[in-house]
Amino acid sequence: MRKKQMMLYVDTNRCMGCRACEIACKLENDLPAGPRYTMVTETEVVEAGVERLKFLPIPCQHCADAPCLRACPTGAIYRREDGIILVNRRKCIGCHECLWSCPFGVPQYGEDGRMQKCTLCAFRLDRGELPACARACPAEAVLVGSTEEISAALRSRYGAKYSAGADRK
Amino acid sequence: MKLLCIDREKCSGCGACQALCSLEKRGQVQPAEGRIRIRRTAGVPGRYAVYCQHCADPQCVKACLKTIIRKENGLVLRDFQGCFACSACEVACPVGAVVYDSGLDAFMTCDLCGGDPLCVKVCPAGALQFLEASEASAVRRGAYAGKKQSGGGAGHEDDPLCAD
Repeated sequence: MRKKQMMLYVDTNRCMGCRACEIACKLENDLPAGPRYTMVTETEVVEAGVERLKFLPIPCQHCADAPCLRACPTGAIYRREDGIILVNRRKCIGCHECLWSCPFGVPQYGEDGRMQKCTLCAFRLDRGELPACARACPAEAVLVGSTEEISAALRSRYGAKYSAGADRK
Repeated sequence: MKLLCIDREKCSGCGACQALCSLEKRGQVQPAEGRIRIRRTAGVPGRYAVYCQHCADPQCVKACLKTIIRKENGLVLRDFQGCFACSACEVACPVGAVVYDSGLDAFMTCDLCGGDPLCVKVCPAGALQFLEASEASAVRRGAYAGKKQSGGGAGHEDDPLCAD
């Protein structure tokens, strides 16, 4: 078994669609127009008779059983020890198999036609920093950590709300 | 550059694309020689469409013994005149997109109909689309968000990013 699985959690009740994560991600990864490692989606929903927009940023989910990893014919997509899915751009031939197999539409293609995607800012994590999106999020809707850390953070959030007597949801 | 995009969940595997493709490119309905073909497999969803992906680093170009396959303006194109049907490109292709055309006696691939693919127009399920890679990604992300945000009820059609 792997030591830990790094993951990214998004609290859709907190996300307000400001797209700070998208901009921070673009700056951090020096991306030109086109590839978006994370994208804030907007969905119209009707809640209690009121129409409103809901937002969900979709970066790479770094799946435990990643369809892209299975689909890649050249073995360019691989998993790091901490569960982060990365792509070796030297091996990638740009055949788009990962895009058709990804349920979230995450793989991106730049000018050179090779796949690139969210790395969960692995280089920043290695330095002990938070990924750019999590750092930039003003609402703290994006959380990054191992599954245990995310679980602990959510428990303490719920605990704080409960003890403050706030409306439980 | 625009891509032929397949939504594998929407694809019903009816084979309209391959029949029409063979009619357009081969001159007769011969689905097995369509440059887009439906493959049937075990498991779910049980079928998928294969066609040339116009790879960034095409293996067929490297494999071709007569160097008649070339990458031009983002498209992988080939001259059928020089082809002596050695099938090196077919073997090298990671997605199985190279098809033997018995009329031309040559191996052929999808050329995107010069930028207006017929298969997209005939797909009754709307599974085939002709989009930029970034648009295709946005549509997929939107579809997933639509499903998740509305509790799994809404399908792709209900998504604002998919609407015209």
